[in-house]
Amino acid sequence: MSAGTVRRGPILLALIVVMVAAIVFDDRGNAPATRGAGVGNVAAGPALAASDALTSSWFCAEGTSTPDGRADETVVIASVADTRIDATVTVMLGGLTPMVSRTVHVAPRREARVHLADLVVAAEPAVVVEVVGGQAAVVHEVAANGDIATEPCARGASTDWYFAAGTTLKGAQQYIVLFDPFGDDAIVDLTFLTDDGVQEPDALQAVVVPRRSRVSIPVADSLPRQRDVAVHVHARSGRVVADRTQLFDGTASDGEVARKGIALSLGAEAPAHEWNLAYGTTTSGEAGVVGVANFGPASTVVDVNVVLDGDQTIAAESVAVPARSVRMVDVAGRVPADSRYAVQVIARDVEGNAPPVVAEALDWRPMTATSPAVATAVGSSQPARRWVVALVSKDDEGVVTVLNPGTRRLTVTLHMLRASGGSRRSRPRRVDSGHVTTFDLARVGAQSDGVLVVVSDHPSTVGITLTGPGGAAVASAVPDFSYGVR
Amino acid sequence: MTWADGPDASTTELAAEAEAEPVDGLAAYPPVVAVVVTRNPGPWFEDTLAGLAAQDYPDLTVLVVDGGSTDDPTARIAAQLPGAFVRLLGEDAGFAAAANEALRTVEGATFLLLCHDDVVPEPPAVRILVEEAYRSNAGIVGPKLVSADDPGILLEVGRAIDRFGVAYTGIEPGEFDQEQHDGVRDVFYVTTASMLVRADLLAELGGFDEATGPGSEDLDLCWRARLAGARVLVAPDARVTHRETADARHRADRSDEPALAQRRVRVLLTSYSLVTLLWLAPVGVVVACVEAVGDLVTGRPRRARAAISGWFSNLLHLRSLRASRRRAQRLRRVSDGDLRELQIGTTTRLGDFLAHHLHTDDRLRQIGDRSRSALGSVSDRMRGPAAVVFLGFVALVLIGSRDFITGRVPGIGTLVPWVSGGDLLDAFGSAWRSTGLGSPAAAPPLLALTGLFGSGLLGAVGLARTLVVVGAIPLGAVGAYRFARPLVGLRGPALVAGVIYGVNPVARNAIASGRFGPLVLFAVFPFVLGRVVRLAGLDADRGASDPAPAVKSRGGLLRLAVLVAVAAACYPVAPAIFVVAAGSFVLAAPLARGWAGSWRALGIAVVAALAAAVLLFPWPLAYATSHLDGASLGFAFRPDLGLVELLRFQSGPSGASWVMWGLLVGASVPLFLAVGARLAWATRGWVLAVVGWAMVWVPEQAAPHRFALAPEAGLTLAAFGLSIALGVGASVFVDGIHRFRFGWRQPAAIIGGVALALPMLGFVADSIDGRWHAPSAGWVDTLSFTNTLAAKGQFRILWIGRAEVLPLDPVVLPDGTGYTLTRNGSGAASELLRAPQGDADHVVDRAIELARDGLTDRLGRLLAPMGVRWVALPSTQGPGGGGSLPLRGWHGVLDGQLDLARLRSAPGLVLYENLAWIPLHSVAGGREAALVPIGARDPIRAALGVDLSTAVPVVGDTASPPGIVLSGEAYDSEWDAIDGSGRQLGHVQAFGWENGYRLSRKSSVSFEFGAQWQRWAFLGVSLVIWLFVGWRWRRTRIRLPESARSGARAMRERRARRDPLWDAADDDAYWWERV
Repeated sequence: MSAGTVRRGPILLALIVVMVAAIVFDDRGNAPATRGAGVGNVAAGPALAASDALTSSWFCAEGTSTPDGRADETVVIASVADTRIDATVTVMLGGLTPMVSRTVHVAPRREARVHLADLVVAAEPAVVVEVVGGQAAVVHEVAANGDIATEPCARGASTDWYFAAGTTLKGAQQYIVLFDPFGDDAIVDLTFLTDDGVQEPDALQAVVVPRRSRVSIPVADSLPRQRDVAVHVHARSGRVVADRTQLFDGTASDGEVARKGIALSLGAEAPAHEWNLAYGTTTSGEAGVVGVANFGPASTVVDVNVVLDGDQTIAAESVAVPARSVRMVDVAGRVPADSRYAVQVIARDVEGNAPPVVAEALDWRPMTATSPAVATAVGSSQPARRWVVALVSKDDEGVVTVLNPGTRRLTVTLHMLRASGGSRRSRPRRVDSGHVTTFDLARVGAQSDGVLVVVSDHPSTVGITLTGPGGAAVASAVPDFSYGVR
Repeated sequence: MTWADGPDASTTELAAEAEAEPVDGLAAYPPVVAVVVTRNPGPWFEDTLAGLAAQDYPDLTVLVVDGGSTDDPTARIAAQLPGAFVRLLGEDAGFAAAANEALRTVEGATFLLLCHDDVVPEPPAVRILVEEAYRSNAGIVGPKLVSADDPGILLEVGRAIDRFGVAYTGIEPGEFDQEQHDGVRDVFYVTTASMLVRADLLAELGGFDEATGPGSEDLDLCWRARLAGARVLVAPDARVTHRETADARHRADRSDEPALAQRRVRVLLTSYSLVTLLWLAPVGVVVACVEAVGDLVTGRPRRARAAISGWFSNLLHLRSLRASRRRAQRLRRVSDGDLRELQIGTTTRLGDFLAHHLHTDDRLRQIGDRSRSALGSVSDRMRGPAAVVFLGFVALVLIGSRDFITGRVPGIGTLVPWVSGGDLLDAFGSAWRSTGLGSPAAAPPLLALTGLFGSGLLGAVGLARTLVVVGAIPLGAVGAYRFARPLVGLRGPALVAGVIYGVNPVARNAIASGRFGPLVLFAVFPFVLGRVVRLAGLDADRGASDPAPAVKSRGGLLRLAVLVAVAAACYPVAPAIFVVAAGSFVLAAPLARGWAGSWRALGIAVVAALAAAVLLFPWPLAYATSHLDGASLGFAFRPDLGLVELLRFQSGPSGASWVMWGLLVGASVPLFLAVGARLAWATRGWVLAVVGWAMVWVPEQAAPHRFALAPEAGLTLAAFGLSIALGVGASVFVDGIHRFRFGWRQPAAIIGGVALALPMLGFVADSIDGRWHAPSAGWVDTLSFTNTLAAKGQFRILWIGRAEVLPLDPVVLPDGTGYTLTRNGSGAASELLRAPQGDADHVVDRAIELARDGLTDRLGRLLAPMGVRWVALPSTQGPGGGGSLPLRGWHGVLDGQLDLARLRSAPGLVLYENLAWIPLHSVAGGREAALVPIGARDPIRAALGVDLSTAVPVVGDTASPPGIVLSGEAYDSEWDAIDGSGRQLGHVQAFGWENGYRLSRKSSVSFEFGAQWQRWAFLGVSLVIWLFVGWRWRRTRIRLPESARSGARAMRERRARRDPLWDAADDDAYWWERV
């Protein structure tokens, strides 16, 4: 090629154009791009698996299956699937003891109950329920001292669990039950917020939870005679599921409240700024407090709102909760007799960045009642549009409480699922923001082996209160966070 | 002693007085006649005669038999040895005929000393031979032959043969004579170079069989002597220097190989007994066929033909063969078995085969000669400034790679450890690939390349891997230098281009990231593009008309295709990159002109790419017949590089500095200074660079969620383009100085030169690290403890993470999650370039996606039928770091799996053991057998409901209990399982994707893949293709004429003799010496 044919100008111009274009488009391309995998971790708290989930596992820590056990356990599997599902109930006994399994076929839209004592006799049975084939909720029911308690099982393990409303006063036994369902051991530290401040008993540090087994820790042995006991379970290695059982034998020290029954709580995974406790009644003279535990290093103030069924309102009570302490707030005392109510606990300050807390309800029927009972439940911090209620006992009367924690009015409907398909629906109810409505299960025609689904057009919080001659229990319903999402 | 017929007209007594001279004690010494057979003797002939003249043997007569020399040697003989007799045969007679003539001519001699005209016996040699002949009652005695060039080097101390008559000296090429063979002993035969023969024995044997010469007449004579009961000895105290001048003689003087083979076989056929021949002949034919294949493979078709024809051509001479045989067998007094101990064994035969067919001794000698020559040449060149610069560069490469050299290359990415050459070749030859869940796809030729390379280094595969890694940078630099040299026309600027390419961080980052393919691309790219440019004629400055290239290298396209094939074998996408690079010339054509050449270059690149696909047959079929799996072709990355990082080649830990801007500044100088062809090449370089950057940047900007090539692939083009531009810039600078036409261009060029030094500083800084910032070890090394556990049950390891930190060639899911399955260990080179995903592999995809989405907590159970024993979750490339890229949330996902137990591991790696694991080959017996899902439609659900963790591994010959035998390979009807009694087991599909078999009774189980023959057939086709390539390559070799070669030698010698001071003074001129 001759020298004259190659011109410098166009070359420089072309390169400049390319560079400028690259710079311009590179700027435009600097918009954040989604890179990498978004992995959907399963929360440890109870929640229905997504409808396309292959399997869902539920972990029920507390419960016994010996004649003299402290909490006779029954596992309830409530299917909301349209086809038959298989649920494998595996009891992990720890050590070299082989696991015991039974596969239960659950009819569409029905419940199946497995009384653990029928499966295996064990003092420390840790239960895993693996559901294959569709959506189902798993709860477990324990019975002792003429009382019952119920709570959804956990969907996963966590490194941290929190409980707020406990006591080790005379007449009360408290057990923290730690369950490690995985293949390697967990090492756990327990911290207590008590009347005497923060306590970390040496015996309850570095507690080894062997793989595929559970450990029950009698708190009163290390922390006797504490009126208020909030617990933080932290796994320094591995992950665990933590339940707490409180057994009341009807005795009490002078000046203290005497209670009888059993209460069961699944811990909260983390403190939060807002808790909704959609259960509470004074229809049989029940009393109730809400324990608010501040596990953080700074003091906080929480508003405790008691919301009555209907149009009645009660002024919110502000409670100061110092750092690393727990406060019991009487809520039933502020409620008129024969009322149903829900409680909202909101931690906030002027800046809106108050330390989060944990709130847990502790209700009881007085010893003077026909059938004394005790119940506890940690609040719910995340509303959902669909909730599943597993009906635990045919003899109990149940009340479903729907709380609207949002800012918009919602419409809620109860669906009593039919085995043959479809459901019997209640009349829709509107619930204003910050208000609550309740449904009597007897009135909506709930059957003992049926499954109740609560659906609202905006997120709500649903709880159930069971009362009856066999005892009383309060529990959160099982949310379906995937409803309306997928 | 008298002459039988008296000296005839052609026999001349040079000095009659010699015979008349009285000798004391004559009766005590048997007369010996030294028969020197000659034809066109060289200048060494006088030495031979002098050697004979110097003998201390009293009764030695010399007879020179000339076999038709063009010049009468009589005068030369007379001058050196006046007492010698000369017999001129006047025809082109061979040694045998000449010796036989002597036999007929001489009478009265007790011994004949037969010798060539290029041997020099030391003074006592004849006496020692005669004494030994008497002492040992030997018929034939040979001396020790040593090299005439270096008498300390042994050539021969008698010879043995194997059963097929192939000679074996037992002397290594270049072996020093340390008297290690100095014992008188029986040998099978001694050569005619120098042998003392009892005259009566020679007469009884009838002299030499002329049909066996040249080449095998000595073997034939000695063998017949042996058959007659005579001893054949070697007396090493008698030393004879041998010049071995056959190679120096004219080619026509030398027998061709088929003739040599034919004569050797003829000796076998005449000398062996009939019984022996009954089995030996067929075996010999088979062995010859094997040899022929070996010769063909090693590119020696003439030898191959000789090996075969040696046996069959004797059929054409049956009559004379029969006569010879009769004569030989008539003498027989000993059996073949008695001679067996003088022959060598079959294993020696194999070694001898290699030595014979690979010319080991010749080659070693040649290598020695060439090495000496090369050393001389190199030492000349070492004094040149270019060499000093290049050596400095190489020294920095070695310093920067010192940890690799003194330790090892970390097993990261695709730089996984190379297993033994045999294992790699086994993997290449296997019809079943063990990557993923197994696949019948063709194995990549890379396995053969690495296997052969490792074997070629005597099994030092680690060294082979190190050589590839360390050598890539200087090799690429040499390629860039060779590319630039004809373009810029000056050696110094071309060197600048080469060094600048070498110091570019691209290769260092490829090493640090463990990317074998891009590293090979870096090394090979300049050579490929250089060939493309030369073939297209783009390298010639021919004016605007741009005609077709005037001179085309013969076979150039073939060589280019082979080069592309080698690159493609290491990096499958390389041919496409070459095409893109050639296409950049077309893009540059509007600015740089040379339309026709640019299009030719593109066409040549396309043709070479297609030809490479043919050369790599049947490997490309693996991609053609599978689903689109871009990750298997290298599209597995999502580079997160901004424009600035790209322009600075900051794709990894190396070169991450502002100094890289110097490269761009320096490369931009020629755009302002150069004119004409140089400006055109600077432009092409820049367009190539822009195309290279665009290959990385455009996909990232336009489709950030899509996967792309490793950034080093595109950046290689950019690096090369800039280095060409820089070379052009340097040439402009040199020319400016040379012409003393200073102006604004010179300061600009100096600025460019200074800017150029900056990347070199970066290179020097990176070299301090010692391993180019690569981690000291990879996870493959960390988990190598698993490599020994397969004996207790085969297994797989599932690696989950970003593609950048995973070993080997990961599968990449749409969300960016990558995974790799390694078998029976932590990964090895036999699993490189995995097969494209098959249907079964998607089961792994789905299991991982289910776990990732939180839709199962039984991942272990889903992976169990695949034999996954461990799940590794690396967030770095190795314990020392290297690309910290964790996958968010995966720890939680795997921690939440019920059947995975987290093990203690180093930071950067989370390791889980699958508690539900079942061995890759196992038996589910008893009640578990009924649980195995047969014919399941949904593999995931099938695996979920079954716990087979107590399944028994199938190990070796150990009997397995009855049940369902599971083989964790993707289901293929060609797989068979055979029980201990050879019965084929019923084949079923288990878990919806894998092979299962029904074992009805306790027995051992083995597995076979029935389609292995297809692989052999394909490889046969491939062999034919490569044989054709080899043949064509040889045919198109361009050999310099001898005159040119000797001229080059002479020039080197003249240079070597030159005054070093004069050389030093010439250094300045060196830089702008036009080449």
